[in-house]
This record gives sequence, structure tokens and C-alpha cells, in this order.
Amino acid sequence: MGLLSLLRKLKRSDKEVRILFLGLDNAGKTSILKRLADEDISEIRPTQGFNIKTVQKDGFKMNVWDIGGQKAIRPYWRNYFESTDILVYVIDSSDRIRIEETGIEFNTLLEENKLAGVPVLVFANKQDLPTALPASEIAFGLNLHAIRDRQWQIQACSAKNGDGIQEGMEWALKTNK
Amino acid sequence: MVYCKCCGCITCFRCFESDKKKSDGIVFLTIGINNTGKTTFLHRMMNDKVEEPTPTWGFTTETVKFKKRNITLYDVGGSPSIRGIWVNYYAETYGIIFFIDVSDEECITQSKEILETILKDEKLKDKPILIFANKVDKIEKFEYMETYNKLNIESLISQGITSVNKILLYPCSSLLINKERDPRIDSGLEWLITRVNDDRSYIENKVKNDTKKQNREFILEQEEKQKRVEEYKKLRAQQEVDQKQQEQLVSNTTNNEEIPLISKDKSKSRSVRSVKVYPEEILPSPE
Repeated sequence: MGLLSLLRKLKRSDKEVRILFLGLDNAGKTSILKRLADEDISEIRPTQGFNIKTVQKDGFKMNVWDIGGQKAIRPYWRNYFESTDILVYVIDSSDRIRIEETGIEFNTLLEENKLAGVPVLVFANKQDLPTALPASEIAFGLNLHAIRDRQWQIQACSAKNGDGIQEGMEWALKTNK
Repeated sequence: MVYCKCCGCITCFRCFESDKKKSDGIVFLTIGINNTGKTTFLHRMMNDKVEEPTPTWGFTTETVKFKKRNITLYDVGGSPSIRGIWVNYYAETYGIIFFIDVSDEECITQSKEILETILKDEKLKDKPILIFANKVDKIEKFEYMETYNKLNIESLISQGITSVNKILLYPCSSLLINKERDPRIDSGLEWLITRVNDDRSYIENKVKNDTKKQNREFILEQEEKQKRVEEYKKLRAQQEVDQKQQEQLVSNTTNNEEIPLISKDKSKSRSVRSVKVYPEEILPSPE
């Protein structure tokens, strides 16, 4: 560990949690983030960089990093892996075909050393749509069922009506304790 | 008095070490319907104070110290739509810890069917199963035989799905009792470990072989997925090309339709012009 990262670690208080939001484009990362911060979600454009928000919850300070999912931006994800406490992976659970596709991206992500052992919360977004898949099929599509070295949780949610988002964050905070 | 196996002394360091090593690597899978207290049990084993974890929709693992042994516990979600993942953990487990909520009749009825299905799985064959009749703190009196019969354990044994010494129904409470873990949890677990040790070499071998097989299957699945994704990508690229062509075709046809319109207009304008031109043409002609 370098001196800088050591200092960075010392600087962070115990009550601070760093949460990294990743996922393919149009999965709903920014919408969920805005929901968390009680902001308007009616007009969201594709994220061309990143959004950082600090949300207070249960006495915790959550620093949430939302990084764009466009193909061109994905190589830059790795710059944000350091000192991540919880990885949140957002998927569009209404799109059967894209789950396996996002699964491959997701599995390369899990091989990263800097994310080793970091608990994963999968936000199965767009559950308000009728084609949403059940949790066990999502687990299979993302290859979660083969994981043994970290905790994972699937949280069905809908950024559109706000369902499930609080529950997911509660899990993240309890897991981080 | 416990004598060691290597030299017959009361305590010897070598034995202790080998015993420790031997116990390492034991994996137990906790399953059961949602809200039966599986994750709360995990927290009891971790010796923390969590009383109400959020419902599990996934997988949690912890390696805990229990009576000087290291045990790895797998905790999975029990809601109907996530139960499909259970089967992926059977290969590695040395025994099953099955949870039921004795305060919920519906849960017992459902558990009966689930119990039979999971025990029929080839990967769990001859592995011991401990059924924790959890939440006894919520009912006035726990009727052991009644629950035993409701779960149809007798018939599971007579059908040969499991055997008398491989299955145990045991009451417990996963909540803290006077800030401590319920001692019945310890007794139940000790029974399970003893049963595993009785058949240690058989179970170890089975776990080894089944895990190897399963890992191969996981790799194959992953490769198939990769292929499917490649095909989707190709298909989608093709669709995009088709769509573009279609669009072009549409715009071409609209152009075609427009062309006659324009040409009509042109002809009209020409004719108009020609009308205009006519006298001019006529004009020079006399010249």
C-alpha cells in the first residue's frame, strides 16, 4: 500500500461508505442515484463521465460514484475501483438478451484485483416492466451462482417508481458493518 | 479423558494440529424457505448482535470458529424466485442445515415437499441433514413428534431417501437468549459434525469429485454463454444493417414516389413554361 492510499484510508471516517455504481448503458444507474438523492428523474441523458453524490442514511455517509456505461467509457471504470466498499451493478432485468451480455462484462469486472472480495449488490432494475426475469435466472445470466469468494445480493427495483431502492441500500449498509 | 491417536498421550501438539487441519474445509449449506432465520443463524455463528438482517436474495459466506474448528457456512436466499440457485451449492457441502419456522404452519407444509425434493438430489446422497426447528421462542410448546410427522421424515427414511442416523430434527431459536447464542444451536451443529466425521472419507471424496464436475459444468456454461452473446451481437449488428437498408429502401421508395410528383410538377411547370415559351418560339420562327 502506497503512502497516498494509506493517508486516504486514514482520512476516511468509519461512518463513510464508498459505493461504486456500474452497469451497461441505459441500465438505470443515474436514475437510481437520483432516486436516492430524491431528485427528479424525468429527464436523464446518457452519462458521459460520472456523477458523484453523497447521501446520508442511518448515520452513514454514502459516497456514491456513478460512472457512465457507454462502451467508450467502460475502459475508464478501473480508475475508480480503489477503496470501494460495495459494488453496485445495475442491470435492465426486462431485457433477457442483454443480461447474458452484461454478465460477461460483469465477470471481467469481478476478476479485478482491486475489487476482490468486495460485496456485490445487483440492482435488477425495470422490474415494473412485465418481462422482468426472476432472481434465480438473473443469477444464472450473470454467473453469480459460481461465486464463492464474496457476498452477493439481487435487489429487484424500479427507478421509475422507486421500489426496492431503499431496501438495496439497507443491505449495502448492513453488509458493510 | 481424551487420548491422542498418534502417540497415546493426553494432549499432543501434533495431533491438535492435524485435527485442526482435518476440520478445516468443512462446508455446510443452510437452506430453507424465506424468513425462517437462516441469515440470523449466520450472525449467531459470527457472534455479532444483528437480530434482523434484510431478506437474503443471494449468497453470503462466512468461515467461523466453532469448537476450535473452522467451518465455512453458505447462506442462500429462500424466496421462491431465488430457490433455483440452491442446487449450485450441493456439490461442495458436507451436510445440510435446513431451517423451518415452527410458528408458521404453512411453512412446515411447504418445507415437507422441499425437503423431499432436495434430498433426492444425487449430490446430497448420504450426506447428513440437520433440520433446525427454529423460532421455538415464538410458540408456547414445541411438539417434537407432531413436527416430525408433519415433515414426513419417517417416510423419507422408509423410502431410503435418507437414513435414521443421517437426519435430525432439532429445536432452536436463532435470536439471542440473554445476549448469548442458544446452546441448542451448538448441540445441533455438533451432531452434524460428528455425522460428517463418521463418513469423512466418503464425503470428502464425493465433495471432491462433484465439485470438479460442477466446475467443469460452470466453465462450459460460461463458454456457451459467450457463444450466445457473440451470436446476439452478430444478429444485432445484422439487424442494424438490415434496418439501415430498410430505411434506405423506404427513403428510396418515397423518393421514387416523389420523383413522379416532382416530374409531374416539372412537366407542369415545363408545360406552363412551354406555354410561355410557345409564343417566344413562335416569335422567332417568323424571323
